[in-house]
Amino acid sequence: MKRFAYSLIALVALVVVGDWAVGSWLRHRFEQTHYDEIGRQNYICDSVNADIIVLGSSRALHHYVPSIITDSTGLSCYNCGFENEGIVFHYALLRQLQQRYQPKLIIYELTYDYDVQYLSWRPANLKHLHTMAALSCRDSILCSVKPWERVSLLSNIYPFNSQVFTTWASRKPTIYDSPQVDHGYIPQYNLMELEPGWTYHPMKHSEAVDSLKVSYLKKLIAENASRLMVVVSPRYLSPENDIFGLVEQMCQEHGVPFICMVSDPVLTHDITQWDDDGHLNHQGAVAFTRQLAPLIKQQLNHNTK
Amino acid sequence: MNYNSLTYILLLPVIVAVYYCVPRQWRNALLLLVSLAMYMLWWPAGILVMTWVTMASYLGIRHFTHSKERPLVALWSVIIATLLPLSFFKYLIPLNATITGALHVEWYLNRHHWAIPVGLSFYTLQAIALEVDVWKGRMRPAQSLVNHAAFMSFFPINVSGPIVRGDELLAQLEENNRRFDPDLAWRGVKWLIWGLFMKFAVADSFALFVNAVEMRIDTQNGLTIFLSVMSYTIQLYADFAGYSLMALGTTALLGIRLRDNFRRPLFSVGIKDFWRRWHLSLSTWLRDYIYIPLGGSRCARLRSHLNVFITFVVSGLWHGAGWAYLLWGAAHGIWLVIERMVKFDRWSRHWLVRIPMCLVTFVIVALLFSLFNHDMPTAFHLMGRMATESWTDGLSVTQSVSTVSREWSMVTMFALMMAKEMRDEFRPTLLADRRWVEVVFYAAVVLLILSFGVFDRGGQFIYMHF
Repeated sequence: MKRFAYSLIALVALVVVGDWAVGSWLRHRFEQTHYDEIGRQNYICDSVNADIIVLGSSRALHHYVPSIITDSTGLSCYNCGFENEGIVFHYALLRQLQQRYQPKLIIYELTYDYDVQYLSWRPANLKHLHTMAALSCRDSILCSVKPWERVSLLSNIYPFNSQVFTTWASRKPTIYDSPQVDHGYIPQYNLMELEPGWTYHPMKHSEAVDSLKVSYLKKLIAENASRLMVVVSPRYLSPENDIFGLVEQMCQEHGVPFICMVSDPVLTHDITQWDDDGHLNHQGAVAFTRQLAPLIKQQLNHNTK
Repeated sequence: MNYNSLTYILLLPVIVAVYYCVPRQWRNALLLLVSLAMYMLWWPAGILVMTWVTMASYLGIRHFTHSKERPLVALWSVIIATLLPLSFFKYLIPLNATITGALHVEWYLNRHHWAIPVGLSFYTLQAIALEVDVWKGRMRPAQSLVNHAAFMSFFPINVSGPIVRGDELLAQLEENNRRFDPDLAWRGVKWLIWGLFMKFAVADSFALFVNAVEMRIDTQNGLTIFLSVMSYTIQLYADFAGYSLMALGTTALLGIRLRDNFRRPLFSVGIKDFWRRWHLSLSTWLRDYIYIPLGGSRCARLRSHLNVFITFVVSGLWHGAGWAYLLWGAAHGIWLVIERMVKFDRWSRHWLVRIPMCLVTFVIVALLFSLFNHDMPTAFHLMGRMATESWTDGLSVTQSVSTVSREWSMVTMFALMMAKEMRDEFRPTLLADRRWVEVVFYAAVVLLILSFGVFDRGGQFIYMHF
């Protein structure tokens, strides 16, 4: 019995010490990473201080060209979009930025499946959120998604789970660090090709909404009403105007402009503007941002009044 | 409740502590309560199905043990009563859907889209084995309904097996002198940790790769599809063996010993060897309750081959009611018959034959397992693409930094798993019984789980769906 007890105690002690040591090392490696997605996250969290910021999933990342917005408004702009991330992460990211400074305008690119709809899988995989240790409300946000996260976060390694090889591989510049990247915006240069016999299938949206996502969307709108714009950028051949009623209503309640360009007549039917059916290529992104820029300016003017 | 969830991991020490604190005569009742509570967390109504199977087997066994004569018809009646829920959920509902779909008739049995109750296939076989064993006089019936129900619903195994026998579990539950066995408990801790490693760090890492490939199967080249099919087998093994180890680990902490469910099947040479290493509780169940009653090998050669074939077809059907499962079982049966006909055992003893045959076995087993996670048309589409698309362009899945890192992590964890498997297979005495080595090793494994484990996949086990 004694042998079992000693073995178990030794095992637990080794795990605790090892967790502290390895976790500290991983945190250090993570914070020292300057390239790829991790480098981008570190930069956004620690250094971005643009007047206008763009938040949202990959559709934000690839659709909003900051230099065009800056030219139009005279204010600095940074694209903080993240691939595969939804409202929970972006709410947290904004809170992290707001711990340092207050942007003048926040443009939120709404992606219905990531920000409203109930999905059996949750795109917000929490990977990025876990590593945002400086964010004061990180634990409470994580617990709202997974109730046991507070216990998991007792581990020093856990927040950097699955990042060992990623930090190692992020020692060299990648697509996120190429010279074409414009203040966080990552251009795509492909031309969408339709296979012979391709027909349009509208995306199937279930009516079920994810109450957690909606609650964070509400918070984002309510807490930033005076400096927020919610935008839906175009989708190829999309007639999806009718699914945004709930968001539109939330925005209306708080006086937040809701700009729905999902079925934009110019872009949605022009295949040369698209990288794939959900993402504009660079040409399309430029055209879209040019269309949006006057509305941003108008909103800024409205805010200053 | 998921047995690889944090809730379970935190709850287990409490259950074990309470278990050893209550008087011995109350332990089975406690196990029953815990098992039912945990089972109800899956699907509360599932408890009704479990109660049916438990009561059918308990009352049936009581009936034929209390009568002087034991007619075969009594046994069959009990078996049929036990099989009713399984037949309904696993065979009748899919069959009904197929027939009504084909006839365009609206007469659905499954209007409310019930899923098959978790673990039904496992505890049904467990009940049948007990019924047959008691009927044949190989086993005494349970002394009480509580013991019988605790055996049927035993929480470490009621989701995905192993399919335990009466002489293995019920006999131990009925012994009232169960004590805390420190050596067994230490083995339990090791099994639990290694099981978690296999599930989180190996199976779920491979699952990410397999899912990434399958999500865009029509854009993948032959090599990528081939690697994905091989990966699925590794995922399946690590997932199921991981679960089985966690089950064994939990039971060991409760002072109960169960037999291994896997013996390193990735080293199998030939299909016969594979079935001596893979899902042993099912393969031995099929041997004892299907193959031997059919006549086994003590009959004409042709009949014996037919017995093998039938047994494997039953194995396929046990996994599900689809054509793919039937084909999977039949293919295994045919392969085993061929091995027996060419006397594979004799000429596969030399290592020069064993190494390539081990690889060949793995590849064929993996190709057949592609029938497991696809319906027939998709599986054949997959095979077709694998055969016709390019094998020389490298991987066709998106190679971003995060996916490459994930692949590295997957390969590293697999290499670590294989290193331990090789040690267990070829040098089991290496560093055996050196407690400090074990402590350091398993502490390192926990750190590896935390560093490389995949925690955001929902944690379901593949075999829960069978």
